[in-house]
Amino acid sequence: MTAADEILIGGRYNVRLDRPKPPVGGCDAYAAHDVSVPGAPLLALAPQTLRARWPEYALYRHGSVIPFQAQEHHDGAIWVICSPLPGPALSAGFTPWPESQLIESVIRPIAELLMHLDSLGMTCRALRPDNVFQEQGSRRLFLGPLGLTPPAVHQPIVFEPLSSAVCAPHQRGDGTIACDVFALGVMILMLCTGKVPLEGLSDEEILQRRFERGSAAVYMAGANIPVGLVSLLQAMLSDTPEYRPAPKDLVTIAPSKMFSSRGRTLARVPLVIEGHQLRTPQAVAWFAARYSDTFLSLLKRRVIGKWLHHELDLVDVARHIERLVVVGGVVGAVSSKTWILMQAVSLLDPTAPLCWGERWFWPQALPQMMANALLQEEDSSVRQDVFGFVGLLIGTPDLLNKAQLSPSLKQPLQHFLRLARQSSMKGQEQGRRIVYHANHYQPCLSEQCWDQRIIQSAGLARWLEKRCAQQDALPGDSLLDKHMRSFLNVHATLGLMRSIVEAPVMGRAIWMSDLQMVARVQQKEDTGSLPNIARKALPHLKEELRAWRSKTLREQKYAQLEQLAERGDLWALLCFVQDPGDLGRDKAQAQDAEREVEAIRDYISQEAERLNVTQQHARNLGEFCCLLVGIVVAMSSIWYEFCGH
Amino acid sequence: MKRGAVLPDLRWWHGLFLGAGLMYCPGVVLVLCVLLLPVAVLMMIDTRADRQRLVIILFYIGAVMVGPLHHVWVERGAWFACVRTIEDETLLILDWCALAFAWLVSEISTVVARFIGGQRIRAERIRLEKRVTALEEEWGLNSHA
Repeated sequence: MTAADEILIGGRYNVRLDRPKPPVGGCDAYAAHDVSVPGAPLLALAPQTLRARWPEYALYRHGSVIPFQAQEHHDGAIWVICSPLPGPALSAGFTPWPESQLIESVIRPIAELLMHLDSLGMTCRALRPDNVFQEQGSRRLFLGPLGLTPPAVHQPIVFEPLSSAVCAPHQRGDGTIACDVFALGVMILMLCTGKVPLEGLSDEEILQRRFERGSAAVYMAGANIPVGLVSLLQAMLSDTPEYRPAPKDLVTIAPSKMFSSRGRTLARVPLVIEGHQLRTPQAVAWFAARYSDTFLSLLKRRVIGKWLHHELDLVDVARHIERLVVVGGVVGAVSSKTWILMQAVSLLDPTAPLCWGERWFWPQALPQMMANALLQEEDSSVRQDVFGFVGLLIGTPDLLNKAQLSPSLKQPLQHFLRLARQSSMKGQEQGRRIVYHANHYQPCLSEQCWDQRIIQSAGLARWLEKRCAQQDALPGDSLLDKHMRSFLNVHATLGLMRSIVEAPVMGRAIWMSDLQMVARVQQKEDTGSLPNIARKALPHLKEELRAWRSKTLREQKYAQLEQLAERGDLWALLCFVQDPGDLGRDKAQAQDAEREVEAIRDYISQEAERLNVTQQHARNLGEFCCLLVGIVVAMSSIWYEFCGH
Repeated sequence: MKRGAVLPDLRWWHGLFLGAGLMYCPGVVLVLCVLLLPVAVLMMIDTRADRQRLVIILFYIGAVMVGPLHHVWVERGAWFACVRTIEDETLLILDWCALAFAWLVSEISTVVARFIGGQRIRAERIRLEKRVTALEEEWGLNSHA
């Protein structure tokens, strides 16, 4: 065991990275123990992405949910410490449960949990066999910790109601408590039959069967279900959310309590699309997205409208859907096919998610989808679709007003637009920032540090410090990449800091702005000294010092800079490099020097004149000397003549 | 005296004085004329000679003239003594040499003064150029070379 395999979290919990446990609820798990209580084993979970409402989930406690003891940050990543699992997950195998047991220890406690969550406006979205644990020796079920993954990301398609099963995992959104009721229904069905319904079929097949015949019918066909539970399950597995019982009805459940299951209104004559016989508008909506060309030609030939009118008596829907083709009303660069299909689906099934091109998604999930798309390749279709839609939505807010969409789609879209307006940026940068604005627990999406699950800006600074210690050059020759910049910017504004650098420039200035960001993080949060980053930035800072024109001053400053870099205080470094007062003095001195040089050059250029003057002087001086000598000679001659003898 | 004139601007009373001198002490006038001959020659040859230079030269000539004039004074201007004096070759050579000596001293001191002045200017220029180079080095000014 080395130190690298063991990390101490919050000064108290020792996590053994060399002893991984099977994942819990979609998070990696490791063995851990409390330093002060070495005997008791604990479980440390490393969630990749938390739900946006994580603080509420973190505070939530319920008898049927495995509680966690602490959440701690380590190097900017969050760790959740919880007590060890009470027993194996249901996915590991179980024996069928009798009806009374089911009511007593499954339906009532979990319905109570759902009711409680619903009263707080939260959803569970994690009811599935591998996240439900059975206590050893008793028939009690526990749910894995809530809120550790984005909603419904790991849910198998069988456990999802049709309204979210059609979406890809990241596009399901928070959903409603009715979705959880459906998942509970599937769980109950699984517990009494002993197997997961529709096992072994592909997702596409499962969806097709459920749409054609209804989920309840498909799931319960041929299953041996206690008579008292049939009506309950039929109600819970209904494809219409309003028909499912509310959690408070389930809490008060007694054996053989009857639930009125309202049947689906089926068309007498089915509508046939590509050989599939469809009897409900929901099914038509789904197949419409699948075979859009066929559907649109049917719509144009008014077959759909007539079918809705005559077979289902949906006069209003029929009228509206007819008008779609007539009015058109395309906004911006949307293809009319996408546009008509989106509205037609929403009209046919008001509980369906948004259908955009080939993709189904709930608007609540847009930030999550964007985060997921940003992790994909630059030219992947997911990324292009998601950002195409987001760009269109933000670029033409008119789109929302013109589209005929159900309120359950429109409201979250409006919420998303409000979110988008929180940052003043435009284009890709705005897209990147929305993700962090929507979920403050979103780890930095940069592919360099994605594995580190960094959700704190201080953690990012420390990680950068560690990476700068390695010798290899930074990729792209800049300190931060664009994801890190967006991450730091958003986190800076979250802490009510002034947003740091809005418009990055190229080249050396990028380094400076990056450094400024990290420096601000260092200043505001306790990251310790960052000498490695400072050392990496030294060449760029020296470039910055070129603004000083005095050579000796520069040399002095280089030396001082190196000393400062060793201390690792980035803010002091930046202040040192960008010292306008000193720079102004230097500039003034430089101008003085320039003037002096100019004056000297002028003086030297007048040398010939001065030489002339000197010659004149020399001649005068010569004559003067000559005169003096003459006087001396004359005097000495007189003296010699009269006194010499 | 007009500058550049070959002959001094003579007036009628110059002749009066000369005649009086010739009349009363012809010996002295003879000695003076012979000894001042170089000055007259110089005035005729050197067109640029001004009063100042003549005065300077007169000092030198005067130095030579002290001895003979004293001798003439002692002899009371006797004609023969005067003729003997001007027949003395050494005196004549000295007289002419005084002129040459004056010229020599003047030229040499001029040359020396010019050399010293030039030296001073050169030293100053070297000092200034050094200063310019130092400033350009320090402040990164692009030289106009």
